[in-house]
Amino acid sequence: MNNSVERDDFLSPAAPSYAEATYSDTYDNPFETNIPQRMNSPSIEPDDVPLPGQKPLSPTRSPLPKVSGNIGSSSNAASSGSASNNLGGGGAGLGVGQAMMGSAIDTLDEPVSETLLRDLRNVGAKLQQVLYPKGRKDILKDWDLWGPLLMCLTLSIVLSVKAQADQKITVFTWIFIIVWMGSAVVTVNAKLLGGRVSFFQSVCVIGYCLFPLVLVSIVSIVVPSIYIRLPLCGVAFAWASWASLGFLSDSNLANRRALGVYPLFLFYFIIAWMILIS
Amino acid sequence: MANKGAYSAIEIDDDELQFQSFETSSSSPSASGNISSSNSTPQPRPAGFGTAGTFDPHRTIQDQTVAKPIWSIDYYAKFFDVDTTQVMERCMASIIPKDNFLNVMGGSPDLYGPFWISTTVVFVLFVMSSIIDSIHAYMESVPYSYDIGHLTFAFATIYTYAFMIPAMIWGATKYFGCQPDLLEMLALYGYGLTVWVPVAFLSVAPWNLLRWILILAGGASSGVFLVRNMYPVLQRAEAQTSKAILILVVGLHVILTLILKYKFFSL
Repeated sequence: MNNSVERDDFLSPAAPSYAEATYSDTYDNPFETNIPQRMNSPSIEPDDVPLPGQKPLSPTRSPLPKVSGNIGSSSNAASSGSASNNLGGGGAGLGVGQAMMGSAIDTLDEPVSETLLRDLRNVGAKLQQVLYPKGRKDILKDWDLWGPLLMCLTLSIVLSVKAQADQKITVFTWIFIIVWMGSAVVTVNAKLLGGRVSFFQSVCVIGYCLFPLVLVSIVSIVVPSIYIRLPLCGVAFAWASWASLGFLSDSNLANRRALGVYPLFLFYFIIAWMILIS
Repeated sequence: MANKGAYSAIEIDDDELQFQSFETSSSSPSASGNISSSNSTPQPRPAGFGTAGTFDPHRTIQDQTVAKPIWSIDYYAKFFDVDTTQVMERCMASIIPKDNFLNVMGGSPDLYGPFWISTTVVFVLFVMSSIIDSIHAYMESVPYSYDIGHLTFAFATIYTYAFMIPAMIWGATKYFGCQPDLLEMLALYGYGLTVWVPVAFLSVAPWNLLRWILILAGGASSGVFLVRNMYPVLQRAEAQTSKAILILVVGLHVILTLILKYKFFSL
């Protein structure tokens, strides 16, 4: 690594170690633990942002090696987390959690499909964690709101399709309100009772744990029989509650655990109910 | 700076405690607790922490500057300072009105109960009324599809009754000099809604007479609960106004009961 590369040299096309120098040791993040240096030098600002007076990067410099996602020993989820940070920083309004900040230069030149797929893979990884809560629990600490939004929209659309003709809009609105306001209220309730939960992490977890219910709602589009729907909804409700409890149980609620957990049950119950009767 | 309270809070030497007057540090019991635990020499102490009568202007100013802002979560956390057992106790006391509810609450009314009980009642009313409608449709062999209007109506009615009406009554009684406590009003009305949950569960049974009996019993129970606990507050106004407000409270409660019956349990 060339530690003494000047800033000017970064940006000049003639700098031979351009790609390497982006992740030089001069930009160590004191908070990062075992992130390969090559991959995620978490400066607040990417190095390739041209300083005033510098000439900007030419986008035709595409033979740069694409370092995102392939280099380093960090897991796919971690790199997806960092890259999805880029997507979040790149203009999407939704917040993304405190993952490692990758450099934008690597994701600027990739095809759009790669960008979208990275986020989808991230969402998928979290859904897997919800469905089968083994492995790293930390994956849900890297919150994002794409997943909950996806769950909420799917649920709202499915349930409003099955509603009475003049009530479709009302049903859509109600499900939307129940999901977002419900997650927010359950989280604020836990915080008010003294629990130590982060607001967005909790909203993220509650949203992701809707996934079993979303699956059941899609199934119940085609299955009207209540004898199939009832056990399915029951199982989905139990699964969703158990998955979200697993994450939210480590906040210090002491004698008030039931008080903090009850709204969560109420939330999933009402959604399961609406799926059941749709 | 001669801020004795802060100095004694920071002071951790156990040999040389410069400020021996514990009257000033008694307003921050944790600070004097630290000092006393690390201080080996016996010190004269007031009878109880926080009960010393000395007024320390520095301490009160400091307390005011660290008061929680009204937009922070911590400001409202004090209204949620209840344990599970306390909430269950209060719910039971509201269904079976034996003691004075304000004694049961022990002077610390909470907002957890009112909010979550009213939310529960909203959802329970929706669920039960959709069950009733589906049973009715099944009996008539008609295809059933649920009516989300029940949820909207329940939401509007119950939240108005649980939050707007207590605020109105509080405003009215305050105007007439009854010195009411808003939190107690909210707690009374909120916990008074508890009885509707079992009533709703039982009223699924498709017999109209049974439903009437159940709903009137529920309405009477929560009405009595309300009136009994609001009576001391209302008494403090003049005779005419207190009677008028009492009639208003009872009247609104009767209206609620009838609305619940006719809107949700009428098929």
